[in-house]
Amino acid sequence: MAGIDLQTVVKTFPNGVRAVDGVDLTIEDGEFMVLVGPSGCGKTTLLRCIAGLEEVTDGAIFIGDRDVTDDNPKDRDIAMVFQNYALYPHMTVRRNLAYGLKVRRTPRREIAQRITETARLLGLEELMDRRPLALSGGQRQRVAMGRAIARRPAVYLMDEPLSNLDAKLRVRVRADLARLHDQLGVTTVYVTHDQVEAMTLGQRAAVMNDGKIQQVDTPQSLYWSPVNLFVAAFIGSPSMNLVDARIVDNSLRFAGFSLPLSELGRDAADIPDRVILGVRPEHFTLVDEGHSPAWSIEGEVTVEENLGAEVLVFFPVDAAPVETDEIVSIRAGEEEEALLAQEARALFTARLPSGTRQFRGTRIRLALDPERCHFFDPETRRSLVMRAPADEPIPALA
Amino acid sequence: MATTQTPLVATAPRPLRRASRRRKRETLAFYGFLSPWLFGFIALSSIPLVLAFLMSLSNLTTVNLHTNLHYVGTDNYVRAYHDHEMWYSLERTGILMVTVIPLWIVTQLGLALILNASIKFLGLWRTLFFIAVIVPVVAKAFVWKAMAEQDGGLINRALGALGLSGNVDWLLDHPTAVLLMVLVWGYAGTGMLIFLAGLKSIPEELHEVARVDGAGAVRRFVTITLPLLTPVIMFQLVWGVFLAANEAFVFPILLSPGLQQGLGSTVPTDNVFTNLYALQRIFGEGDFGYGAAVAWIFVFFLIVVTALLFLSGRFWVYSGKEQYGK
Amino acid sequence: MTQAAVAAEAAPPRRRRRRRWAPKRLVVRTLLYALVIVLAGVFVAPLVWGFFNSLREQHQGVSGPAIPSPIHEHNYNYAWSGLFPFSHYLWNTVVLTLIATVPAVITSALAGYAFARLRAWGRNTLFIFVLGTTFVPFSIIFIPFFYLVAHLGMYSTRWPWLIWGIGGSAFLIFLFRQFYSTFPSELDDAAAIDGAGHLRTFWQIYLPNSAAALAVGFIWLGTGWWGEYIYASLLLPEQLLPLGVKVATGYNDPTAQITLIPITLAGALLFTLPPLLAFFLLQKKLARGIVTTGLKG
Repeated sequence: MAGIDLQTVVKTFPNGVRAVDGVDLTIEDGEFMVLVGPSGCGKTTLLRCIAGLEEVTDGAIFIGDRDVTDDNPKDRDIAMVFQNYALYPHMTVRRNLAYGLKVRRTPRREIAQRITETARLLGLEELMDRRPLALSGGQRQRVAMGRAIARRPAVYLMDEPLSNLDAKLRVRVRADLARLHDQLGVTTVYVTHDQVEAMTLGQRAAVMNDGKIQQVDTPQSLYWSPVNLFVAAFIGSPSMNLVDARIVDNSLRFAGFSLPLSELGRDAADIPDRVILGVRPEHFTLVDEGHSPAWSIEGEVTVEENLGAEVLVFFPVDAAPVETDEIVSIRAGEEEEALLAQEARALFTARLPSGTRQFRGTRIRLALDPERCHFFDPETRRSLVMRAPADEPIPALA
Repeated sequence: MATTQTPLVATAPRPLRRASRRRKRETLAFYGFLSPWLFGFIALSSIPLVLAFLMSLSNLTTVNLHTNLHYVGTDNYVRAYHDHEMWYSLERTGILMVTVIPLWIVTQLGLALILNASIKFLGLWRTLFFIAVIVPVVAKAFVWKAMAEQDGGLINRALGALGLSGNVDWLLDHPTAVLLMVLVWGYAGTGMLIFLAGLKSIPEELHEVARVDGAGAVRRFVTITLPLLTPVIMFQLVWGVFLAANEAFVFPILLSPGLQQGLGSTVPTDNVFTNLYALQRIFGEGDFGYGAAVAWIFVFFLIVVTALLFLSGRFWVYSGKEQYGK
Repeated sequence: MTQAAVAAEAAPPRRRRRRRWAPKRLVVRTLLYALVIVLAGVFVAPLVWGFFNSLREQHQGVSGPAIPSPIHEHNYNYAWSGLFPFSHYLWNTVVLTLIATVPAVITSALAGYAFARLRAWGRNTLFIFVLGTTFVPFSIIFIPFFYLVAHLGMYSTRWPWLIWGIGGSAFLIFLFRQFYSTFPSELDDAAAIDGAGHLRTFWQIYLPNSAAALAVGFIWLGTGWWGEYIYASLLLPEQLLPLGVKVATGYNDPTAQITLIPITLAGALLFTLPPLLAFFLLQKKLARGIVTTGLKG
């Protein structure tokens, strides 16, 4: 059991690519830290550096109080769970679990004891004499975890262990993972591209992009107080709505809408003339007919998705979509790819409680809560008005 | 608008007959595509095999069929049973198999392991190791004759340089050793590529997990790489038996010291393997019948060896398919 | 408030990366390279030695200084035209190789396609027979084959090579089967919808896309037949002999009754050049071909 300290870790590949670009991170003893980001952000490389599977180009890695930067993987007291499980196909479950222990010359009795414990913990007792080929995906995943657990290392490293499971199974195993961590309390570094996993599993999450850590924080803080545009756009599904806006005559203008700055109170002072406005889909409120609050926008709903408890409505606004590098790299990592060519106009999303009303084709008016809007500097992309995390649960993610 | 009613329940199923008709058409096409090969199969394999069998049961001694040819039953085989030279040739064949095949496997696997490591100029090394395979049989033989020559051959020169006796008549006194060298040098290349493909088919993640678990390179090789390679090894073993069988025919003839008179007449006895022995009986004494019988004994020997290999496979060959945990 | 990503000053002091001269790794690396170089040397040595010796004085055998002192490079001229016309037998070799290889490649491609794409009764059994032919030892076949050839009047002719050509090669069939089974089956469907029969589908769709497999097959089979010795020496008259036989027996000094080794080596190396050249020219395709045409199967 040990904490991890990463100091200015840099990893440059021989072809010149800087996969990890000066990462500083401290992971507390017993903490479940998630490394999350789009494909190619460097999270897996960073994990492999911690594991010792990649040599660090610069910087230092400490596990516990030991400098392990030059150590082989086997000397770092870690165990790893791979995305494809990497079970030894020619060995039974029992031998798979025992491998690491046998290699380390653990006495036979202790091996047997640990294996029985681990098998019981993960429900593998029936499967001990089967080979990986005869196991289902979920079972293999548990064996892969069992292999790590049986070793009793100081740190678990997990590389997208759930991404090969189908959706329903994933939700269940996620819960099991959280439960396991409560029970075992071992420091865990968990890599995923899925921000839902990051938000639900991690005590803290490190959002990465381009080899750098954008923000390390609790899920709450990441959601409510994103430090820059990237984190704001990456966390939350559907993504935060973004639009370029200008300050004219003391009001925030964009897409033909004009929102008076007075509503922002003291925060208005922090906003420059040009700004990027961000609103999460769940922070819109439907306005009844006839009313017209100061901070509201309206549009015609072109697409409607009924999710059961909620409805997602999509409506275009009369402004160009925000196309910064961060957005592009996030979108590149998203599962869905646009079927149609990119529209000239930005498409906003709003989450509304479902009812009997059909939104499609209608014009709707949505109110914005100034306290819940985010503002970003168009040049630095940093968040201009820091919000405090609200005391309410993050809405269930789509 | 009048429309026909489509029945909700399908009437008597028709697909069955259509599939069978289609199958028949494809079968016809299939055998059409295979007809050239079938022709070759009959002309080059089936008929000769049958003939060989018949010959072994006859007293055929010339090419001319019309000379007192008659059925002699198992006489030829009985004669072979009492033939000391035949048994010696069988012994030599066994010794060859037992030495050349392990040497092949070790060399091929060793070279493949080297090529699998991340070293520079990989293509160069691979080419250099493989070139020997491309060299034609005759050139292979003469190049190694130059190596093995008693007076001035490279092997003796090297031995001399190391301080050992540099005057060995390899071609005459140790012909099988020379044969071994030619075979390993000249045929390790293809096996090397096959093992290389096998090594690369083991996902890197298995090695990484093992490294994290604490296994060093040697241990990983023994507990992970080797077990997963056993199917390839088995393939190479069986292949090796037949490769050795075929090459042990040509090379002893070409490697024999001195000029050749008849085909295979000057081969040192140690290199006369059973198939060569059969050849000698036919082209030396014209004894087709006996030669055929000896050849069949050789084939039988090969079958026994192969069968033993296959049976042993149940104990040491990993038989899973290639799904490493996904 | 939020935490930004900045290292805490209280952490252990920063470490500059030490240079990576980990001694143990360096030693292993050097040993590995040394081993590779030695092995490569061992594998190339026989050829180099053969080359050196091809430059010796004719009757010297392989004795004398390691690198021959007066270099007799005219041995090569002599090998070419001194005792017999090399080019004539070279031509024989080319003809025999082509007769045996080109039809075989086509036959094997046809068969490979059939095994990969046509569902027929007895397909799997027949494939076992195909594989089985590789295990029929040459030594049991050639006796009756010689007999057959003699009785069918094909002795002293090139006809047997044509028969071998038509018969194809089990290894190539296996190769093509693996290769063609990687083609998307939608190709067949599209062709069928367009009205093409099996032969047309093969000829116009599969075959044109088989460059890699054809190259591998041709090289593999061609280099094998190029050096064929036994059948040629058994079945062919002097006029039709390929170099495979002629180089072995043709460089004899008639008076001294010995084989002129240096000349023979020169001839053998000349004989080796064409397949070597062909191999180098198609080497890239060859390596890729073997790995991708499914020897993993």
